[in-house]
Amino acid sequence: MSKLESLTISRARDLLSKREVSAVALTEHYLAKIETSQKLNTFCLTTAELALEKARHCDKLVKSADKGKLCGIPLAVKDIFCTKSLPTQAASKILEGFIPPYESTVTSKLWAENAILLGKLNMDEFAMGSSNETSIYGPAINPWQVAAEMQPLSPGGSSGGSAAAVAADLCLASLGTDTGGSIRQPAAFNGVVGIKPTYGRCSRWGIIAFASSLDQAGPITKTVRDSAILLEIISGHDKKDSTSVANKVPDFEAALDGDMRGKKIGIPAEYRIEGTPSEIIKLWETGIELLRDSGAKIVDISLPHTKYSLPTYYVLAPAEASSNLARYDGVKYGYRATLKKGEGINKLYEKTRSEGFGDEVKRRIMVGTYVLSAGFYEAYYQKALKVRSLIRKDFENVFSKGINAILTPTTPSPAFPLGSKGDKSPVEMYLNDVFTVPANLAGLPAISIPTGTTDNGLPLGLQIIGPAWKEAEVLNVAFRLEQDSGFKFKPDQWWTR
Amino acid sequence: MSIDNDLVKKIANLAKIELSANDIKMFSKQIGEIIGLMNQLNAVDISDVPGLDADSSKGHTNRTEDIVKDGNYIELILQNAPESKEGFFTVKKVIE
Repeated sequence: MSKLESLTISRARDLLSKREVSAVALTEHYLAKIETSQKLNTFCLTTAELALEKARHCDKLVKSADKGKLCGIPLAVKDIFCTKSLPTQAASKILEGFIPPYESTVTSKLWAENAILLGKLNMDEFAMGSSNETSIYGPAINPWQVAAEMQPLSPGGSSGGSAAAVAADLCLASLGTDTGGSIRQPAAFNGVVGIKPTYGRCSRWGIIAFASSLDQAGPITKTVRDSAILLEIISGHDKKDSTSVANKVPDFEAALDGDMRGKKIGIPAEYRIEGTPSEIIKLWETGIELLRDSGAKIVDISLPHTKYSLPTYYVLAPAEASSNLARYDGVKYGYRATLKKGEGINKLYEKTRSEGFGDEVKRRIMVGTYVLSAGFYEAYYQKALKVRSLIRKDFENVFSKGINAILTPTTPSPAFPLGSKGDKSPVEMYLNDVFTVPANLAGLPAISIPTGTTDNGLPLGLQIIGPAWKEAEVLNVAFRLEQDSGFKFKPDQWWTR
Repeated sequence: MSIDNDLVKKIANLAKIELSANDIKMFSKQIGEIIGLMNQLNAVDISDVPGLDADSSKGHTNRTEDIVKDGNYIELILQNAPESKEGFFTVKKVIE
């Protein structure tokens, strides 16, 4: 096996600085892999020439003291991050042809450290979906499969392309965004690591908005250490996002000591929901045992408002989306419908939005419009805001009693076949987010790490939720579980055959 | 649960999305189901929960003066416009 297979950021960093591999060779390696992995439909744009140009630049810098922390590291980012002079569509027809004249803050932080952009990754349209099936590009495919003759599996969503590309080893790591689980659920489905930081840890500037009080960017990586490395770089206050917070960003990598002695890990009773497959219950119990064995104290806790998280989320996220997506009117950028003679400005808006948005986006805009409309605003929107504060209080109560982190499953099922869910009933698809939305509603950091598989070999993830600003703690618990669970991230590479 | 077609038409009009008769039928059923999910919130007692104002008053501490730091790149912005003329976005004539 080539030494470039299954590389991590930390390992590539060493090879690059010892000049055992050049940035150009590494970049060419991934570009070739992307080329032979078209079946997975993970990349919606490849930036080969720009990547090689940057790689040549990095190779010249290799001995320089200020070469940057990611010098020569090839990465890819979700199509939701505005990338200057490169098409950015959030997988929607309505942003067809849009070329941002600016770069998002988090991606510009990566390039400032001399990371290399390989391309943009597939996703659900405007990050609305849990299966990647709402993408205008067609869904990305999960690199894991049970048997070749079976229907391909969903990579999850909305950052499905970001997780599948990392699992298939088409880049060293990627960035995704998480509004209700969109980093963690695909990470779990693809057997990789994904962390959603505390709300306000990273700037949202230049990220196409879905629900502004919930959206956060975060890394999807092969290891916990790589997540720590990337998260530190993309974190920090940004004057251009008034909801980003000026807290000191710790050295997340240095904090990874895996020491669980004296740590209190909370196990919430409300996450034992009826119908959860026994494989997932078993995974959770194994995780609990591993942490207990490494010296952590396991504490039963209660988060009583958990069951209201989904209905709260599905009021608030669409409400914010309906407002954020009002900007797509066919006038300023993106797609514009063709009008018939005599049709006016109203028809321009209505036709453009009808032809430009997919069904899931239309559904959410309409639900959001409904809950914000006169007569329903108090019954739904105001009420959901109040329930959100109860959900947040549940977590505060638990953490104020000395709990360091909470351990739960990430998803109620392993990856499901494409086309098997939500076709007729969108609510069935929404149920996928049941374990992930509470952390968004409470603004807390949460990570998903793969710790085991189903009996037929599909990856499963555990979630660790921590107090606000305690990403270091969350990463460290994940680091311990990663060491002890012995999970191997690599799927069989059927798609290259 | 289903909501009636007239309500869907009203929402679609507010949201400025044109819908076909089939779309209206489909969305009536689906949005009805979503409202069914949202109605679970009726079971929560929120009588002791303060209004949002109390909470959000803390949230604006990093508000700063709105100072323009860049600008004068009209051409760059208009490159993304489906139609423009003489430095402006253009739309069909609006006559009331």
